[in-house]
Amino acid sequence: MKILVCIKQVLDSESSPQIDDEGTWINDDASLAYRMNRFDEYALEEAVLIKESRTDVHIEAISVGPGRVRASLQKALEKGADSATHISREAGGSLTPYEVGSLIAEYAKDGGYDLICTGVMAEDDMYCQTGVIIASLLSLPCATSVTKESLDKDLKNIIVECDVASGVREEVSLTLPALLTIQTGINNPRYPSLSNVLRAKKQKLNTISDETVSPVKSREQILKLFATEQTRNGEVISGTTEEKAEKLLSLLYEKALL
Amino acid sequence: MNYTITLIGETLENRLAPSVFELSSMTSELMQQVTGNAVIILPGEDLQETANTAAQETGHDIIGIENKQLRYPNIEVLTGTILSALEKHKPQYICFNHSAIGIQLATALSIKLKAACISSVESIRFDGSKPVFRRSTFGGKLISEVIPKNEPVIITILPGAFPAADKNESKPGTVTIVPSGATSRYITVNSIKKEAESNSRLEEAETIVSAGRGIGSEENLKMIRDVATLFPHSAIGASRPVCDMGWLPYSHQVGQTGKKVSPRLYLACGISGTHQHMVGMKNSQIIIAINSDPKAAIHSFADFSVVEDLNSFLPMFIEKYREREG
Repeated sequence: MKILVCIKQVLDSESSPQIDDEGTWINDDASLAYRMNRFDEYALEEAVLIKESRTDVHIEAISVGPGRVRASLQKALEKGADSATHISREAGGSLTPYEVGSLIAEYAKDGGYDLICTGVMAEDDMYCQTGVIIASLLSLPCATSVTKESLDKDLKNIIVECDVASGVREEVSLTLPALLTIQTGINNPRYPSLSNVLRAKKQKLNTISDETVSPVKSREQILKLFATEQTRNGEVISGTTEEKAEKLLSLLYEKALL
Repeated sequence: MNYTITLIGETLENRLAPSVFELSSMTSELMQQVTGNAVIILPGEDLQETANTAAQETGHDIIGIENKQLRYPNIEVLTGTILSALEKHKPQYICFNHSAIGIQLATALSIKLKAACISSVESIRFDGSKPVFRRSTFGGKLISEVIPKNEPVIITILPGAFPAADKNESKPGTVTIVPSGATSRYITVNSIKKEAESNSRLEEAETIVSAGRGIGSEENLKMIRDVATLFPHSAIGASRPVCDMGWLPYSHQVGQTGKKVSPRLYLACGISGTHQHMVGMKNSQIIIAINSDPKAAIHSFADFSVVEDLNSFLPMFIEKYREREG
């Protein structure tokens, strides 16, 4: 069985992005820290859990972006992927879900994957599109926001539970091959073991350029970026623990909330 | 009738999702510059009654598409039925709620129609007569203005971003019910699972005391409950990780995939403040954040912040309250 897990490298939430001179993207400089999108960690962990429950599973991790994304692919190998592919896109700047989805779909179309997993969304741009784009381009059945899955032995079907609305879930069967976008809560992503970290060092990370895969034209364009306006005061209540508790109480009485 | 704007409504067991009123309010904004008419496409199983109500309450024309497989959402059937309706009407704008079903359908249809797809839209401005769509990016730190390069244009609107339109009092829109024979080959809906409404009372509460991952353990929920009992008309909320860990049922979850609330007071305890959580509670009158991490994003969205460890602060807060109240 072959599983492809799509990984996005995102800006760490503690990094502060600075808008570039054109005002359409951020300065992608060395001051920024990047890491694997958390939703993709759940997707990868689910693939690893499937691998542990069967004997014949190969997990390939894939990511699109500049050279720095190789660090997240290395992390994916440490967490249990068997191989990793970097679709290199050195041009920089923003990439729309359509561009990323098209590149991955083009790469994956003859790969014979039984299952493709992505996170439900990327923490940074929150479009929730890439997985569905890949599935649509490859005409694969797709389930999104998956919180449970169970694969049948002969790889004909997968049964999943998906979020439909607040507190409502649907149990759906999909024929394989299929694509799932994975929601949090499905598993507990593990930290890589030392043996896996050492094993990952020896594994090869393949790189191909985006132009070799397929030229893609975006269908949307960022006109401008600007900082979010702070709409609330953000007054910090200071003092010792006791003073803070008293100040907060006074404030709540003042506002007739208590 | 020629429709330039098509809104896709959602139904579950043939009941209309109220989020359609947010789509309707967004449409009023879009129609400041985009000329033509709007229609709501409503897929479901048995729709006459629901479609009549929707036509009255929104004032928009309704095309109800009935398919016996659509009592519950089946994405393959939905994509097929809506695609044929769109191919017939050829709208310029196709709009969805950014719900689990809405975003999946929007994206799948964008590939079929070679459309631009701008998801999670929070507001619209006009550049001349051309709409520019604004959405949060970089986890809510920046706003991006996005324009389409293709037509048609598909958008999804973030829950709570556009206020629900008031119910239409004047004449209702027209209703057309069309049957659809679309079937699914690859996807079967086996069952629907509804979490028992555990009386979370989040929507009616005046104060919501909400727990995040930062409370540290399930046992510490007792502390959150103790704080909540101090406030009249209070309820317990949670961020998604707390529900994922099974500490509270999902009916308590506030956020993009949970409930949208607007209490007088939202007391966020140990919540880091992801954009997905903020979407659900940003319309609260007063937000107070208690978090030991001074760099947590929640502090920049709060009216008041307390940087303290919950385990020492909340017991102290309760003790001080008891001293005052005697």
